[in-house]
Amino acid sequence: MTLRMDTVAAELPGLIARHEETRAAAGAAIEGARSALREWSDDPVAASARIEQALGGQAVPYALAEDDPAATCPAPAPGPVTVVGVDGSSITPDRFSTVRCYAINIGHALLPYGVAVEPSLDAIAEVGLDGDLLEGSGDMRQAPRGLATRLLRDVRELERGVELAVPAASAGPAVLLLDGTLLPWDLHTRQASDEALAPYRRRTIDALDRIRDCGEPLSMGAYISASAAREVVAALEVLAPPPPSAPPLTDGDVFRGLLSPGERSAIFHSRSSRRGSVESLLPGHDVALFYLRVADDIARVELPAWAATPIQVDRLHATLVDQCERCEGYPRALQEAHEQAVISAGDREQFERLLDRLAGDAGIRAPLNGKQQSKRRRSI
Amino acid sequence: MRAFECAYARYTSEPFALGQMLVVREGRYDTFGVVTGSESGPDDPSRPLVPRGDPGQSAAAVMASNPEIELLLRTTLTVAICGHIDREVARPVLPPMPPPLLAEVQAATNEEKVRVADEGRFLVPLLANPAADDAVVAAALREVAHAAGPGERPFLVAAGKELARLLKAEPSRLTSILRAVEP
Repeated sequence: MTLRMDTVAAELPGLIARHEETRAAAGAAIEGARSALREWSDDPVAASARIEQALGGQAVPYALAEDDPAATCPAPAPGPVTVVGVDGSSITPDRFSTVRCYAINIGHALLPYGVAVEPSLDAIAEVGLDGDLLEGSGDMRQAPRGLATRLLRDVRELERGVELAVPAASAGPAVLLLDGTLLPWDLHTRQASDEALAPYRRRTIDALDRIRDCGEPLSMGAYISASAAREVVAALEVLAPPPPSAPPLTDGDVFRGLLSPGERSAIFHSRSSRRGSVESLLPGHDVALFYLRVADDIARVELPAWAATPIQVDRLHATLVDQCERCEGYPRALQEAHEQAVISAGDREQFERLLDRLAGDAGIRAPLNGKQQSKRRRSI
Repeated sequence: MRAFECAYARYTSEPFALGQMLVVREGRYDTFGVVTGSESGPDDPSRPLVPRGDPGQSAAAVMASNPEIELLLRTTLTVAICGHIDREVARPVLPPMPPPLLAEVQAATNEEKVRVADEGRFLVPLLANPAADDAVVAAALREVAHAAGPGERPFLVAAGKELARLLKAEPSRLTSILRAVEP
């Protein structure tokens, strides 16, 4: 054991006491935010105009409601549906490795409920050289380590979702679930050139277009458990500015007291400048969102604005509640997709050793640098 | 050499039965064995199977409403080898080498069962295997007798004599097996 437990254990009670003080202070701030939400709800048009006037064009991310921002919707009864969950995991090219190689593992769960579709749990893996990530005329060499692998993984998750959900939707109603944000955030990075990002952007648009082409039989949602987003809070702070000493709130803090288990919030539309930038890169694919209460968790669910029709949202809402009931508060299809995708520490070590051995068989040997050699030997 | 394990790709509620004779038709010999045990559980030991479903709900209904479960479970069988066929000659003894790994395991045909059982001589390798308890031996005898069709009675008489010879020092076990063979 290298963590000095005797030292940290002595510090923890003080930290917990400070946390409690912050929570107590947040109570008043939450009440203020809910009061602002009621004000917004009383006159949505005027309040939304005030919010837009105050935040439009600024860097602060915020959200506007489609209708009554304080609306709460109980979960509809789930109907026959095929649920497709997709998740990914990756190994970033190691700069100490003989051959700089990435690996991506995209797991899926395809689970039919009352629909004549064969269930499946599986993963597809792909590997490539570091240089393969430098597509087109652009260059990601200057991007932070792992960014290109992460971006490729996010795009492949979406593409895999399309490969599975589109055929499923032809056999009956279907829901495609992703873990995390709907759009790959790294598409917006300033740490890679536009040329380098263009192929990933094009592939994302193609995948979203294919989902949109399916129409109402296919619902789609990106699920973020315990989201720390505060776009609704930012809008509420325009209507009722918090006292300077108030701790920062999240949207979850506001909706926790508003939503009963299984209920969802109104549909909001994200208006953040960052999000706006991504959306400007992905024309026609605006992000809508709602909050969903699952036990004590307030999850954020993002969906394409074009997939926010009443039928699609009802199916998504009912499916998420049913899926979470099946899996202790998290969608079963995403849990199983994660289980298929996860690359364990053992897998990573085995991959590294296999790569080293095959490279060695091919006569490729890179001299170990000092740090790597020392870490491997760990001699006394 | 005396036994092998085989597995279904996923969970099955109706695996090969206890005492059923199976065959591996790959390798130098066709290798025959009798099912001595069956076990189903999670493929990943770190993910235990927890109770599912509502009170009164059948297992089939629970499986149907949770389609991932069957994909995450696996049924495995243990098989005691009881004979082999070498160039069309049935031999109720252990083969010189084990069947190849990953070979497909199938149910033996009635004709194969009768040939390999060889009037009860397949009991020699079977009784030598500690996994083949009284219930397994009796089930295997019933299985071959049924496969023999009109030859059921002569087979049971011959096998009974063979069993008496092999278990002359264990009369209580002999009695136990014979009672279990009776329909």
